[in-house]
Amino acid sequence: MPRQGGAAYERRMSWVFALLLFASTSALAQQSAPRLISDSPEYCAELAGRFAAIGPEAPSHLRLLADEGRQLCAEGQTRSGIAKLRRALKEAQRGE
Amino acid sequence: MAAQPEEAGGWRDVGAYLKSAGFRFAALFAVLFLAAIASFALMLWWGTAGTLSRQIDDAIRADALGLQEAWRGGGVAAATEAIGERLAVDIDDHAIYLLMDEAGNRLAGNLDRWPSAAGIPGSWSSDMVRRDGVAVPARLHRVLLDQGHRLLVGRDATDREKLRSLLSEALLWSFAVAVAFALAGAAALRRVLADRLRAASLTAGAIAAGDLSRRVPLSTQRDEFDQLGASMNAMLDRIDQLMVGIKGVSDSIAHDLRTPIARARMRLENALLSAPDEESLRAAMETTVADLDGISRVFQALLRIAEAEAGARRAAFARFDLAAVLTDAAEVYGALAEERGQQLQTSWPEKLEMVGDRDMLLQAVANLLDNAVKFTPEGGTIRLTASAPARGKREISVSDEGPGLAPMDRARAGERFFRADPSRALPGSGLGLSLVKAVAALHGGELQLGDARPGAERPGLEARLMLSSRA
Repeated sequence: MPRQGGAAYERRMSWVFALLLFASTSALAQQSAPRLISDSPEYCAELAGRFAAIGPEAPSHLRLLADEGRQLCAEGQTRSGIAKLRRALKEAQRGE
Repeated sequence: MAAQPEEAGGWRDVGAYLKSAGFRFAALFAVLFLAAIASFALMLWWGTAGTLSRQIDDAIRADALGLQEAWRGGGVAAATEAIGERLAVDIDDHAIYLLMDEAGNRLAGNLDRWPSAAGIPGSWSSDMVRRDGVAVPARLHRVLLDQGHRLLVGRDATDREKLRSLLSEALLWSFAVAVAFALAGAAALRRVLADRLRAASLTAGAIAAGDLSRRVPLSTQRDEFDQLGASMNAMLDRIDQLMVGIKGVSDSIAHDLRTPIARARMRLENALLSAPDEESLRAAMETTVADLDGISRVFQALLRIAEAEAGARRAAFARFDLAAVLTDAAEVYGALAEERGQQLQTSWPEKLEMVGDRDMLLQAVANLLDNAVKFTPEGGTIRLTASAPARGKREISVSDEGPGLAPMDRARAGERFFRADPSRALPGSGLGLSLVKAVAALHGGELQLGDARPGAERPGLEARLMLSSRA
């Protein structure tokens, strides 16, 4: 009986180890995945620079939109700021 | 141990159930139903998630071609600018780009490094990238440029994966429901089949148990099961009729042969006990031999009728001229009629080709002429005619001036050993018309009986053999 109980315990433990191994491998794979860097303040500044290059010719509502984007980036809301700047750039490109 | 036979019986029941036609039909229905559902699911998947995947790949491919063009036109600077422009207007934030030099330095793009599972340049992969620290699925396409430079173009595939997940879940539930419906439908189908066949099965069981009067009850649906039931009933009626016929024949054989056999026995016994001389003994024996020949003829006739009814002689069918057969019969019976002061009138075309059994037909015509000669009074006329009333049809008619047959007797005239009252006084076995009827059936036709002279005091009998010349 003790031997049988021991074997069952070993089986249970091997399953636990397998699960842990799978979970850690999966987590490791996620951690090692490349990272998207188009949501950083640096990229926000890059977009603002791009808009500034065409800014003087852009319609006023687009300039306003770009300003809002810059402001949001400055306040730390980088993704929203980038989205506004991208929209302003796209509209400006369409206008051209 | 005692439970073993019971268990074996249980497995046998399961085996019988699995082998039953009802289960197989039901299983076929379930498989077809599930196959239809699977086809539908496949088409749905192909039309939604598949289309989205193909659209993503098309967009990536077009993007990669555009960047390669920029690379060829202006090298690193042009490609870098093109990537920057594309990223700057990517409102959905789905685009992924990475341009690297030979040394592995990042030159442009929004991915921090080359994916570790990078395969052969130009190949496609579904990988994971991190956005805000969260791993998201991405579709990636790797392109090898000049001077060892590498380009990676991709799209965030989160939406596609969400759609796939939703669709998979919906299809899984649908499939589970379809399986439940298929099983329920199969069970219902099996039950309906079993219910519809139960009546036929019970009837067959009752008949096998000896109750020949049972018939399959028919529903008002007039479907295939009712058709099967009606066929079974018709078959049972026919079997019943044949059994009654066989019983009648057996009774008739016993009745009709008992008298001549008893007579022959008595004659032999008398001769044995009281014949005064050898001459008397010989005469008694000759008479007995004649009686036994008569019995033998009855059996021969019975055998010929059975042979004709069984259709065994159909294999021996051949083409022959019916006119020649009738001529032979007329020659024999013309002489016989003349001896009795009767006249035989004949009429048929020069040639009457047909396919059939010549000997059987000659026997049938001879039987009809034999009856006509027997019943026509002295000075009377017998008519034997034949014609081709339609293409593929032949008709032989024999009419006499005898007493004829009452309508009730005509219906029974084809039965073995049947003899109408006026003919009981005359010699005969009651098998002549039975053979004629069987020969007519063998040749795809029938025997029709009617008055030769309707309304006359002695109406006579007209026997018409309607035959198929192609049998």
